[in-house]
Amino acid sequence: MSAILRIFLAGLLITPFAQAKVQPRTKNFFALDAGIYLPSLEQRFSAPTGYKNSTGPLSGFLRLRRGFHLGKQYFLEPSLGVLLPWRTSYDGSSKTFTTQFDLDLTLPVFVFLRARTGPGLQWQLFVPSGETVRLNNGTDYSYFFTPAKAVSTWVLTWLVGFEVRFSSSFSLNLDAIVLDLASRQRRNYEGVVSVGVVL
Amino acid sequence: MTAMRWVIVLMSWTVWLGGWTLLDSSLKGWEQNPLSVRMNYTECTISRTVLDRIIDDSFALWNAAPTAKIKLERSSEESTTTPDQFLARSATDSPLILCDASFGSHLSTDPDQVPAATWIPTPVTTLDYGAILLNGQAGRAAEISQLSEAELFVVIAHELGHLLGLGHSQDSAALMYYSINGKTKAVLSQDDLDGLTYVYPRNELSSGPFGCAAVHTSDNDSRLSWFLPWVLLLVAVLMTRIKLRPLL
Ligand SMILES: [Zn+2]
Repeated sequence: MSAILRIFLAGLLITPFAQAKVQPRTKNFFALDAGIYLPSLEQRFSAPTGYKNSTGPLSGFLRLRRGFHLGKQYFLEPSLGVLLPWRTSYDGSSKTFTTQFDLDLTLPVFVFLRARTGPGLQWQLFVPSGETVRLNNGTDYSYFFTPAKAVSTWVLTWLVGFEVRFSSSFSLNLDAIVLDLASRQRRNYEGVVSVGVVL
Repeated sequence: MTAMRWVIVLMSWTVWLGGWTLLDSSLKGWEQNPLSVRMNYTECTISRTVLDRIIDDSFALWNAAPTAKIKLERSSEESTTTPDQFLARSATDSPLILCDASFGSHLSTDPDQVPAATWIPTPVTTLDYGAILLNGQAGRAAEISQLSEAELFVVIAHELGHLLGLGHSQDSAALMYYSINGKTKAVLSQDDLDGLTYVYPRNELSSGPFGCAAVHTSDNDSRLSWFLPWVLLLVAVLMTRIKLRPLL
């Protein structure tokens, strides 16, 4: 947990200095967020030594966010984010493309700190290579297969996040995306740390 | 020219890939969901309490994948199917986990090296018959009572991957890597999750968040899957042109 917490605290500490320059947000806007996507947060921090590389690889995250002014400092923020580069299997033969759609309500905690929450949808497109592989079977060799057909998954998500505004244009976004919020067994947390620019 | 052809043929047969694989190129996963697995402890060499606990832990591991819809559960009803009946394909209850006192001869494998194996008849186009056989051959080095609980957890969790349709992975971090040497804890890697998700893709848009629809994705579902992102993209583009009047 410490890495994200540290970034978050660092963000909070430097904001008062930036606060003076930040004006309340009152207009529709477009923002582009670029940062890092951390899948399986819980496993990342709880996995035993030697298993850290079992968790999903870190990847880049690019998100286009639209802010609709609802009045006062409240906004409705639909966004569309993609993982870049897409995830590839061990040798790159199978590719997985991840797209995250969100519809968040955002509100000011302070002028420089905004909270956001809302439902989302995660789309994963699996594109395997369609090949036959001869692999070690422990004592012998066997043939295994990667299919050719592409497959999609759609999972509902819930996002909770903060936007730390340094100026009217720049901000730091800390978001947690929860997959399968309703199921204790399947609930999974993904984290996004990104820098946002209001276009 | 002939030599060249041979080289190509040879290479296509010996190509080594990493990442998750399946037992068949057109494999369809188990249709039942939740998938109820029955046990036969008759020939087991360790206590059923311990085995139940390890099996439950292994199920929980695979059940934790948020992007896959398959859910494994241990049936409360015990099976009376013997390994012989199962291998003769005359079992009426499947899938099964059972201990086998003639493990080595039944599977033509070395009972001093192999603690467990998954038996599924080929070709595996649709999974509807399969079992995990545990080595219950007393006195042999790989008989399950010779393994620590942690090792048995890794072994059973790995075999469950096969029972669900997954093949081996070249990724040494994956639970489906062919060797469990050095693995003291069963952890699903991203590679395992991706393989499982591919066979049992979850679609909360078609079955609803609490849906218990069949595992197989119909053509309609996949059509929706391709269509929807473009609709959402269109909505996103349209939104850029909308100006909402302040409400508050
Ligand atoms: Zn195996």
